[in-house]
Amino acid sequence: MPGSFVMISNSGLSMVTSASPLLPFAELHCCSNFTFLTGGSHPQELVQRAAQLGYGALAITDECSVAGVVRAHQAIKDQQLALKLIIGSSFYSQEQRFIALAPNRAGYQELCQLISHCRMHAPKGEYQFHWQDLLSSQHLLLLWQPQTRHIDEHMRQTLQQQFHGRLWLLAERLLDEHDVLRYDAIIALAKDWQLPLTCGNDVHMHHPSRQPLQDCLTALRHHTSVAAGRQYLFANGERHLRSRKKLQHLYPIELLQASIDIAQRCTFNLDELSYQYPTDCLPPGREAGEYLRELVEQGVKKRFPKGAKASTLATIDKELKLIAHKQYEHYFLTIYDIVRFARSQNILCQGRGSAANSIVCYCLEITEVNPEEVQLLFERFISAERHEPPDIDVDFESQRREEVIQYIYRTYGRERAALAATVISYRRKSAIRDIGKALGLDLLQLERVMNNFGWRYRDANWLDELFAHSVDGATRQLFQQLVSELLGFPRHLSQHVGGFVISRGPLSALVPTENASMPERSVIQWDKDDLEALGLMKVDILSLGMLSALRRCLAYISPPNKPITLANIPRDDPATYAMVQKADTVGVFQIESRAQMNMLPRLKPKNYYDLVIQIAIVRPGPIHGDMVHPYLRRRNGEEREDYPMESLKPILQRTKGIPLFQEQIIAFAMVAANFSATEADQLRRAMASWKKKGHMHRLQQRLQDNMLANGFSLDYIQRIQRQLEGFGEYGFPESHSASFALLAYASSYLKCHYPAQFCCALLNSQPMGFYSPAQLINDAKRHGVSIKPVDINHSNWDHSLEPASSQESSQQSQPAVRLGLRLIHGLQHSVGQQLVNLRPQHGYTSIAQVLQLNALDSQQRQALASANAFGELAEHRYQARWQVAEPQQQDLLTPLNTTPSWPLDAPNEVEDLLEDYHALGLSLGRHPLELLRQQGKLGSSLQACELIHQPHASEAFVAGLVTCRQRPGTSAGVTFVTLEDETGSSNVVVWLSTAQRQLKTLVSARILQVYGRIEKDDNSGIVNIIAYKLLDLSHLLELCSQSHDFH
Amino acid sequence: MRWLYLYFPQLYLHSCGADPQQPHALLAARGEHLLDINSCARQQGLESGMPLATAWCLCPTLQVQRLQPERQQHWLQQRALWAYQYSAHISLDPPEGLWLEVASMAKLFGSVTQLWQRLTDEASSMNWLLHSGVAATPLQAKLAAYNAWFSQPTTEHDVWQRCLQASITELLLPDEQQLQLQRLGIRTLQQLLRLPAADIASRLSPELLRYLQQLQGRQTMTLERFKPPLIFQDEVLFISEVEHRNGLLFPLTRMLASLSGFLWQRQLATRSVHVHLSHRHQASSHWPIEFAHAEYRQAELLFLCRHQLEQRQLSAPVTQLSLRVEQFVALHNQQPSLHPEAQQNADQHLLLNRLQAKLGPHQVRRLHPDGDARPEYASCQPRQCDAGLAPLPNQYRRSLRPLWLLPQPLPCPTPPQCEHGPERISAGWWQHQSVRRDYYHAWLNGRYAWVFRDDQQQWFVHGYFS
Repeated sequence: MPGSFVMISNSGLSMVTSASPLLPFAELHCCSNFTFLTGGSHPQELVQRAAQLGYGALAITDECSVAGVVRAHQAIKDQQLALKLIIGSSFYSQEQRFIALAPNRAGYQELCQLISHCRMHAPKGEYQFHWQDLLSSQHLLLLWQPQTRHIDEHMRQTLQQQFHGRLWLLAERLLDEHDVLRYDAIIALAKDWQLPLTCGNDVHMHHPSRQPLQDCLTALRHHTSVAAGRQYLFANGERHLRSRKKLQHLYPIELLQASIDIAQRCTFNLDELSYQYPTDCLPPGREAGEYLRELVEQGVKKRFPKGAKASTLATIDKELKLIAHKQYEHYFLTIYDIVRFARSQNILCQGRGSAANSIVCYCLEITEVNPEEVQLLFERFISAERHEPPDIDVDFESQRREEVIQYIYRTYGRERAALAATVISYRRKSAIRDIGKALGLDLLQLERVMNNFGWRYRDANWLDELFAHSVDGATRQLFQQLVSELLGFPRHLSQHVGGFVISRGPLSALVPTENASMPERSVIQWDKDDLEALGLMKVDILSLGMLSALRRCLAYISPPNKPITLANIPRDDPATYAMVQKADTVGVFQIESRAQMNMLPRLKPKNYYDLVIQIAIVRPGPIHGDMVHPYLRRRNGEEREDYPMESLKPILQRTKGIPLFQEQIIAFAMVAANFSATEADQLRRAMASWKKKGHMHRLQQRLQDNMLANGFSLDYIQRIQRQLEGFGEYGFPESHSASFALLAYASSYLKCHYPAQFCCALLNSQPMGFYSPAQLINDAKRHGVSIKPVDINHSNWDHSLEPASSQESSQQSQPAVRLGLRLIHGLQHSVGQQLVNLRPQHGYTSIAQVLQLNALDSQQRQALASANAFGELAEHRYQARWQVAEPQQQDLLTPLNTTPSWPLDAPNEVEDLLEDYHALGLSLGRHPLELLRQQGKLGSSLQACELIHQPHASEAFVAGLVTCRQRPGTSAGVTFVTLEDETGSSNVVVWLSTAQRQLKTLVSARILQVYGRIEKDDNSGIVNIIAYKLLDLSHLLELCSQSHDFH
Repeated sequence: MRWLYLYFPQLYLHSCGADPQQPHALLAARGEHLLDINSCARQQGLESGMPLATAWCLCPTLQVQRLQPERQQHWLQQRALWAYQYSAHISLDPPEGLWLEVASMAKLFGSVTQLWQRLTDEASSMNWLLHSGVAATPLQAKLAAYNAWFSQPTTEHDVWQRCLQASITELLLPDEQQLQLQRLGIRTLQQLLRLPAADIASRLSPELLRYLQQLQGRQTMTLERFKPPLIFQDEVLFISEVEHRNGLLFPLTRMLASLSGFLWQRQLATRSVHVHLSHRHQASSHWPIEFAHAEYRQAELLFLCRHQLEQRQLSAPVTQLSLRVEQFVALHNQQPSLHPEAQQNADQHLLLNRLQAKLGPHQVRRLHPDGDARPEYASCQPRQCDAGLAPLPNQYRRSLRPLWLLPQPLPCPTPPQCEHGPERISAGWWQHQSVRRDYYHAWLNGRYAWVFRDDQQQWFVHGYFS
């Protein structure tokens, strides 16, 4: 009989012929690709296929995990599939296989606890399971598949007793070599033990065509290639979601019916997970909404001491009503509590992102953006129609963020607070490498092809292009297919940077936790998107280096007992803005990068709102979308602002008619194209991922149609659309830019008026920012700050401030910066601290005295010597190094015998310079370029400060240390290089053709000499050099400076 | 002038056959930095120590391979063998150098300079890159070679003077040592030698002191002598030509006796013996004789050789018979032991050797399970003498398989009566030969057969059960 399946077995159960109607079925044993390197299909694919096949239900039972269920759940909802999702998990050991299914909320809780228990007792990524762990369950349904012939009688009896009415034996027909024997055996067991039977299919993929990928995953799991690891592969592709027709041929009716019976007993749906915000922050006896209102009113008095405007109070009222309506009070109270703790510990913090749109947050001191200065759009943060919870991100001082994290753990305990996970998935390069490994290809050749491929400018056919010339025909097709299937597969879970989940009850009732790689940290099995989909609260505890720097600087400038805070900094200081307009912003938050410095003299910000625009405008998006120039042109009066519709004015007036912020897009779409708030927000999100999905086009069409209907000209519409396309992923929320602008202003003010303290604070907060300590110090020196070298008798571990001696500093009142011991490469913190603590009142008097300290091993001593930290205690650093290399005195009784030290030659200036760079990463001596110039090695090169005086379009030589080398993705192959010499920095532009001709020099030179054409813009005073020829001068000094290299 | 140092740059790349017109680079076994590059690559701006990504950026057509240390050792040994004609005392300096003690050979070649001249001429005739240095002490010679100080051998005094002026980077010291000296401001050897010896040992390192002493010749450097690999060779020249192979047996017996003695003295055994026959008007014939297991006893060797000889024909009368053995293995204890299993093993080896001798080396094979699901690939048949097949894990499938598997499945005209099954096998996609078959057990013409049906619903027989 062609097409039919011949089934032979002696089970004695009734079979079905092909003529009967299709029976309903539920697949209860299925793993998705969240059983890493095992499952061959996404959860979404599995539910789609199951629905297509007409299954009644599908249980996703990943191994000791529920990481994939939310995606399946979401897919069912999005596509409105007629399929029930059952939550479960499988647990395998050598002799047994168990599948636990959650029939109700209580069962789900038990499942989560079971998974957590197994995971927490094993290292990251593994689990430890013993069948006795199952015995505490009262609700879970259990499917059991013994793998050996001899079953422990005691185990069987215990399980049958404990799981009475909830236990089935699982029979599976996988058509491999022992299939029939196994099947018969388990049927016999069921009869002997009087246990009900059900069937499953050990599903690993949604369709048999995934077998090659699934084989690759198996090979990768065993760290081998497919050809070498054939013994690990499944013999056939039967572990897929089978058609019901086939199932009827394979299994008797009773077993199929049993699967449906089990499925019917499972009624749990993830939507039932009623998340409850923790109530810890509510004082007893108070009601949440009323308490929140009280706090907000207190905040209003503080924030608006002269009284708030009526519009502000009205907005606050509106916000509170919405918060009450959505029942988010506890969320705000929780975050308020965390921020309050931070402030009480003097940890600087500030909310960012869309949360800064809320005046309530401003009053609660979570964010700092004043609504009376910046236009806020609360709908961007929370809206009545959207069902996702709000997302508040708070930046904390990077060096003290850990204290905040510990506070959260202390307050809520590890059972109620945990980090969200991040799913690390296969990207292009990792997918190519792993499939290459699985197919046994030459990995080095593969690396070469990938390396030479210009990744940035490729479109959808990148796979074809990548391998057009390297791999042969049939293998290439296979390769391409496998890689495209593997893209986006999860590889493992990792902990999110700072995303915390906090709940009222134990987290293990909601989601399992497992060990993170950091000790004492636990991670839940869901990531941010999953949490959002289910409405669980998440707060992001982020870290920002600049906050540390600001706090320190404020501490330095505060008189004793009268601390100065950020709020005390005078606004609208003209000197500060003058400095910013000259692009003298090395070290200033957000406006210090090369691109920013290029824009500042053109835009010339003169008030707070200009800074808000400045920060948002220098992003890849707006530049690409041609939005910069129109704004500048209009600001300079070269172009007229146009508002085709009067109602657009309030939205776009502040940015001269050009949409720069996400909030403007939303408001614009609502007004000009009649989008509702939700739809407008969808438009905003679509712009964030338009490259990936193409939703943009659908929405763009609607935008166009509606605008035409409203009477806009086609020309205007197309202009706006072009700008929107460029918006892409990079448009900023205005509130975010406003938050950052506050910090940018504060740091500019401090740099302008207290350069020494600012420099010291920045140095102590490293690593952070765009510039290295060497560059920060050079910049400070140019502003007249005196820097003193590291000295064992004067320095602390951190950099500190000292009163300047009268002949050194140009500004008498300004202190000098004393470099700290932390700068010395290789010196340990504990050693440095001890040196400082044990320092005698008048300082160490000899090197021998220092050497007596136990903590100093030879490496530490040499580090100190080479950094010239011994200062006056040695003749010069070579001598110091020789002295510290003295072998240790073993005998404590003999007096300290200082043998006369062999005299060594002192280092010359260049050697001093090199040693400084080697030991500290910077030098306080003359700039290397100054030395070279004096030695005549730079020819006729101009100094950086002379460039501004050269005529436009003249040609010249310039030389300097390469401090920055960037090739931004949107720049079409142009490389920007910054050269630093003793007078400042110069900007060099290298076009692609020049770069290709002189690639090695461009890529590897540390000291570069450039011959090129000077381009000067008289308006802004910006000077660039277009390079014609590059010359590598690194050999002149054998220097190893650090350059910012980006590709 | 006692010592000559030979430095072969790019030894690995040259010996492995890299095309000199193409840029090639060598990577360490692990890591992403270039270990060595050929001249073509250097012209393109690459340098050793450069990261691989940068190298590809500068030179997209660069060919790369990973270092295999055994091959490198092997090629260095080949060079040493070649150099054996120039000196009896050779010492290897891996990865790319050799020391030759030449003072004792000077008389043979006339003078050290003449020796050096012949050696370099021969090296350049073989297109080898070679830098050499001649000096009084081994280390001085090495420095002279690595840094290419002299194009001709000069006097000891000149060499020493040049050494004194050498910078620290030229001394080939380990990196940390160099850094340490640099950070003391010591730039040249002369500066270094001024420091008191006791201080060098205590403040810097004792190894450095030893190095300096050896450099100056105050301490001898022990250099391990290179021993060329062992070869056994024996020949018999026939007065009258031998026309029939039986005439070879008597001299062969004698040679095998001396081989056996040679092996026994050194406690070695061998698995292959090469018989060379020279003919008057023809090129010589070469008969390799291989055994499955190493053998050293004369009687066995004779038995095995005789059987293999019986299968060959002399193509022409033989003027000279030579026996050559190049590969040896250590002799395991072959005393008759009380342990029955050991005796069984020894018997087994004997049997296999004889079988192989009778049937020919390629006719004796093992069956080894290969792990593939497809039956025709489920086992491979390596030769008995092939060593080291990886064992399969314990849970290897022990499937129901027929005793006799047909080499090719035969089509079965009528669908058979199936009794047991199906077993579905779906594999082979990685070789672009995807198979999907349903296997059954069936009675076919009175025999219990293993049949399958493929995707096109065709039936085939693949094997028979006993």
